[in-house]
Amino acid sequence: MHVSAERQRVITGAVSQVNAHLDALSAQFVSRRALLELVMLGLISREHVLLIGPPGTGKSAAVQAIAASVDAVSFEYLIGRFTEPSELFGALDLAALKDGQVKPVTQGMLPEADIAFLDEIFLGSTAILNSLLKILNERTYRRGQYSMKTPLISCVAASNAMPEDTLLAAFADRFLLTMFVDPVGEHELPELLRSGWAAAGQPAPIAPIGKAVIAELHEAALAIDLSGVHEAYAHIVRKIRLTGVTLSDRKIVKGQKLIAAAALLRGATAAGPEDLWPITYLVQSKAQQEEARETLAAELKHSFNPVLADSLGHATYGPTAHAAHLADQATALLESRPALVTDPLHEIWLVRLETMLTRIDAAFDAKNLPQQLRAIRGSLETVLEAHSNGATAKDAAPEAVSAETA
Amino acid sequence: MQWRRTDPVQTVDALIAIGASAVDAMAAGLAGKTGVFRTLKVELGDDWAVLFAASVPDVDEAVLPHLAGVTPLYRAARDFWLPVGVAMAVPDHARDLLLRAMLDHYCVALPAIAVPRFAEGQPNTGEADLYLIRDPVPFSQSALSQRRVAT
Repeated sequence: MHVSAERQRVITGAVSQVNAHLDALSAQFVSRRALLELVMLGLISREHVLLIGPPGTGKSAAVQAIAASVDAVSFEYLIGRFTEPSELFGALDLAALKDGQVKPVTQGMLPEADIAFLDEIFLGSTAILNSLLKILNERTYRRGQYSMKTPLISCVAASNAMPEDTLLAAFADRFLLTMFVDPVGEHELPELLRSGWAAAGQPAPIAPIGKAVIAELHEAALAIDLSGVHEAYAHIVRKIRLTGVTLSDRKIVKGQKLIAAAALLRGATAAGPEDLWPITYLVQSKAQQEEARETLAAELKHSFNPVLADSLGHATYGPTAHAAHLADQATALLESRPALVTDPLHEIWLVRLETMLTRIDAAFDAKNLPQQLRAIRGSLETVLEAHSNGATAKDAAPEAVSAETA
Repeated sequence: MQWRRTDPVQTVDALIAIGASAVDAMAAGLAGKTGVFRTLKVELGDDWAVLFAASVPDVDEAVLPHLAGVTPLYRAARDFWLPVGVAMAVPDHARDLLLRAMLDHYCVALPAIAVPRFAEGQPNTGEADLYLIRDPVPFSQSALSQRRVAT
């Protein structure tokens, strides 16, 4: 599709603005850039985002920050078991009621919001969830005969856990993007404390990004050429479904909006294999998302996005998968030890062991070394030290590895 | 040019030692390694040295020794290396163009290595040190191997 130079300039400017905006926002948090990026991806693709994670992980703060930093009408509510629909959608207009009309006062309420953040979403009553469903799906709020179009761009919902109830799970399926938010890693605790203390003061104000910029990017995303990725996308969907994950047809069709938005934010006019990574976020189970990352390691290895780098890293081959990959390779290598030290291949084997040790240390320092790799790294070191000390290292591997990693 | 921290999952393709003591340690470390590692190519600059991975006979993969005090690098573009865990924070379509513009600005050419300077805890930076690769030679024939003798 042809895009005029002027339009391309506007889009490039908008992408840069989003990038700078994410930089400024993420500087206020520790390890929440991926979350912020995903909410931004939801805004640009006009889709809804579900955040699942334990309390106190900064979900609300991050969403509040991004909502406050977009020049748009936002609505935020912590839903409880006893929350009345009127608390979200507005109370009845008594004056209108006197005239026999059922009409809610929606001013300042969810039906008039561009961005909604609903905490503890699954605690909502059936009445609330039914009304929400219509707003999420059709951007329409209806109460009796009263009906209005809502300007909702994106609804971000949060919960401590995915619901087990099938009806609630069906409701959760309306959220195209799901992210599982974990507490920050232990090595990031000092930074978390520093950042938290600094935030106790007044966080630096961030210049808001205009709603028009988001709308511009949404329009541009719809113009992205997806023809080059349909086959690859279908292949990935088949592969995910083979692992037992349910991905509805509706969801995979809508997933194309995420791919298009990812391509747009990469600066492309046509989607390529590097833009398929948001598919991981279609999966609504933490274990299955993890499995999808592993399963799709080959398909998503070309993923690239300078603006959404963290959410991409979260969706694809990240440190967890890398650790598992290194562990597999190192274990296989240790087990391939030539029988005789006099075998010329023995020296080559030692060279490969040392290379593996270098690769492990390049990815993980001692503090961050995953448990599965710790024992294997120890075995590599033992073999290499034994060799450099002139010993045969006969007892060090691979038997020791098997014992330690068992 | 902007640089961004990312997950350190890239394949290590070179090791750089920065600072006189790190270079001395690299030279000493390499001298004590098996002959295979001494065939790997190095480039020695003023107080920095880089060792490039290479495939050796009977091994399909590129090999590198385990050395202390070095920064692992990966090939981020043709003839251009970055530290593992760092990426160029620019759109894909503009990457080559910006890289070339950056090199032109400093009147230098590839091959080169960029080592961005990040403030503690900062995910992004606009500052980086450039190391130019001109004539890498096998370690055993390099000034780096002589450097160890001199010390």
